[in-house]
Amino acid sequence: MTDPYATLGLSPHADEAEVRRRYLELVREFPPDRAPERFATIRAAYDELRDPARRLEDRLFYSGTTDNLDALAVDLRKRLRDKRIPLSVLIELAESS
Amino acid sequence: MSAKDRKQAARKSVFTPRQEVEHLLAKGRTKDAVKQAKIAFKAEGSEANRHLLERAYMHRVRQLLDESMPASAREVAQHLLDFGITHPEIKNDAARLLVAVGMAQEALALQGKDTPEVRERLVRQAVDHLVLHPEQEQVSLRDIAPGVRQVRLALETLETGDEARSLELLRDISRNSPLADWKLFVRGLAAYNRQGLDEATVNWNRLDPDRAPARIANRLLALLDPIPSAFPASLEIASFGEPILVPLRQFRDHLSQGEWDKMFRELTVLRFKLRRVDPRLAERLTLILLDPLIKRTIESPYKQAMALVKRFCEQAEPLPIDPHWNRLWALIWEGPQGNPDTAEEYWQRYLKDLENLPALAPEERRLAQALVWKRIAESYTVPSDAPDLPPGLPSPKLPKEEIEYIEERAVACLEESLRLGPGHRATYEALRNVYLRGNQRDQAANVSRRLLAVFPEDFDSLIELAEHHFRLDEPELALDYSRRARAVQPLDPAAITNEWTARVSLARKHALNSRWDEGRAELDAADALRSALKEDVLAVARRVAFELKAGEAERASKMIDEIVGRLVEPTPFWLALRIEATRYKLPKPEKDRLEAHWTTALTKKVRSETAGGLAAVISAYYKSEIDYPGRNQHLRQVTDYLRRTTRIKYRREDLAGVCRFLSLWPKETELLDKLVKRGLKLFPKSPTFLMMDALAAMRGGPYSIHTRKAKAQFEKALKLAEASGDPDEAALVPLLREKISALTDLASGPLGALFGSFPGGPPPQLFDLFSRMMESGDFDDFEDDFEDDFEDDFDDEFDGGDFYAAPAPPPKPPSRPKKPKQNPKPSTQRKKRK
Repeated sequence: MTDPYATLGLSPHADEAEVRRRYLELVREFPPDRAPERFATIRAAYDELRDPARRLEDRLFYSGTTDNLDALAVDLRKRLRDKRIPLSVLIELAESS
Repeated sequence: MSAKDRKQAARKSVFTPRQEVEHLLAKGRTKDAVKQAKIAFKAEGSEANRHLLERAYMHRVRQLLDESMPASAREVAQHLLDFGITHPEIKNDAARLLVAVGMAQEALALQGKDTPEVRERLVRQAVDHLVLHPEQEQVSLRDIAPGVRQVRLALETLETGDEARSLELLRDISRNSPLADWKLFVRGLAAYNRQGLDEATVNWNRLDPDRAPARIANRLLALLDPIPSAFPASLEIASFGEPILVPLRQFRDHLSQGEWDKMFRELTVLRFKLRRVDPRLAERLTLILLDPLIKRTIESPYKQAMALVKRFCEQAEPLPIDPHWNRLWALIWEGPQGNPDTAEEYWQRYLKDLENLPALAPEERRLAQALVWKRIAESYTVPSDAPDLPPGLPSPKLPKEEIEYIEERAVACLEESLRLGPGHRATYEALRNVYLRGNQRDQAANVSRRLLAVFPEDFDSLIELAEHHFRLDEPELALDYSRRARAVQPLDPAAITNEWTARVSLARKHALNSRWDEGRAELDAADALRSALKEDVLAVARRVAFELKAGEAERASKMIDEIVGRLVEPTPFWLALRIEATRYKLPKPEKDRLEAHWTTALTKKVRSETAGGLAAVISAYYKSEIDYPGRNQHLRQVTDYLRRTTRIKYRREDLAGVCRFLSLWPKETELLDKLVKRGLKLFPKSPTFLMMDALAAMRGGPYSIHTRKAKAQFEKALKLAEASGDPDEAALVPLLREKISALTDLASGPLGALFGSFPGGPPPQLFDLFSRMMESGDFDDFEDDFEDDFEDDFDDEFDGGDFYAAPAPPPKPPSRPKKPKQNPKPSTQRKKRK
């Protein structure tokens, strides 16, 4: 049995809403009529992770994570990008290029 | 003359003034270069020296600009203009430089007689400069100044978030205006700010790459680049207050190199930097580091590992789910270097943490505590269950009282877990497994009933209870659970077999209570369930026994004639009927008559089919744990018969069945070895006999085990089984792989020494270990069982359990898949605590 978190591409600390959102994304990508085997795997993983006790067990005892420092850097970059860039920084960008 | 003067005099004698200027420029000493060039020009006012001085001025202006001294740069540029620029190359460069220092008018004057293209370029450059530095607005560029102010205002408006107003300000700028690039830039920036990256790119792709808007746009697009080095620190400082990405990248490099000392030097600072941006980021950092930390502790010496964890707990951001690090310590102590007792102490502390943990909802806290109790229970595992030794090999046994203590503690922890979380299925299953491992079947059945009370459709529990009631000879209850199991999974082979077995058992019970119609109905229902077995010798034997019990001798006789006529060799049927006659408690004359048939059949010429059939019948009763008076005599009779078959021409399937039967009986290893050799000779491409030969090679114990031979035979068998089209042979593949893996581990690991050559025999501790392994080995267990069987004096009236001996019981369906454990189980055994 493969790791359901790996199947869904989630961190073991993902909450119910994240699990559901990711499941719906994958189902849109691999609908049962076009990718039945992949869908079955996704569905099985989703069914497993829907169990709150299972998720809690993972939170308590599972020290592994699919997260990493690169992903953390990506998150920070996204935060940078999402912020409105001050004019002074824009000017500095022009001068330092 | 001082040393310095002597040095200068010496240099003067070496360099010409021109060389001196070049040297100073190369060294970046532009101020001295200008001075020296002036001296050279005064000494000789040649064209070359004039050019040299112009160049020196240019270098000086550029340097002052680079050093953010625009006023000084302007002053030097004015000196250059006063001196006059004559060289054409310098003229072009000087015009651009003058714009950059805010002297656009002078630049245009300098280029006055040149082409309009050059003038336009200078104007564009002046526009860019003024947008970026509005404080340097020149009086002479009055025609573009309003447009520049408009652009600047648009940028400032966009910074406040008013996109519409910003774009409105630039609406009137025409496509040919030197301000057009800024209009495109502002449009793109507005799109960029609202994540419209496509629209931003479309606008920015139209920018002149030599101009400032394009340079800014390119840097902004670089923010989307996955390489963090593309980020300007100023942007991070503006957004986060301090640079984080570069320290994070350094930290990542240390982690990938396993440089924990360097990581600890940076961890606290990085943690607080992340916290200031978002506390969850600091927690993420901790989560990311947990697994590498645990792995590192496994690899490190004990003291180093402990120091590592302590330091980590001091410096890392605590997780809301583990605020006091008790959970982490427990996980670490569960590891290979740990101690389950210490791990339990930390789990107990964590249980207290969980009582009021804000990170969990109140209903989650109880379940979390239940899960922790289950986790503690899992550490109470008898070593035979903990795979310290390679799989496939027996493990050393603990003393009985220690096993009892471990089981008691496991049960206590699991009961506590169920008290806190009565709806957690896996805990019931774990508790049932503890009881089953301890052979406490009644307790296991009770747990199954409790589980069914919560989950009425739990298939495994229904099957477990059905089998439990077969063993207790309670076919009515067994049938009830079997039918419920079939209702849950109608096509599951285990459910079908269970119901079929229950009906057959019930039929026998009806027969023993003279309820003939009910009994026949059950037999008919059983036949309907598994119609393929209707013609099987065991099924027919049971039917015949039923009719004989019912006094329907004629009907029974007809059935006997029919099957005897159909079978090539009826001896296995006579054995099955003789067994069923005992189990159905037929009258003595009837049993004697059937005994005569059976013993007469045994004296006939030996045949492959008969040997295979007899092995199948007797194995079926033995494997299903069906006991009945006279079973040992039948076992002896069958083996005596098989002893006569060592030279016959066997069929492959018959010989394989015979060997499998004999492998259950260690007293017959000599006969088994003979028949395995026969099999190897007759069927060299059958993996079954190769595997049995390999198992025989492992049988000898520490002094005579033939590892190399066993492994070679297993490997040959594996190749043949993988290529075989026979499902029985293909089914051997997993077992063969397990055996090969076990042998490889054993030979390469510390226990490999067992198989090396020790002068004077293996070291005592290894010998002792191996002896303990052999004590718990499969063969010895079977030997003990059979010795007991032979020594028992069975009561003739004994009525054993009423299990039906299915010819080939289908395998139990796989139970619910379990999640693989993240952390290795403790290798150290628990000490019994007072």
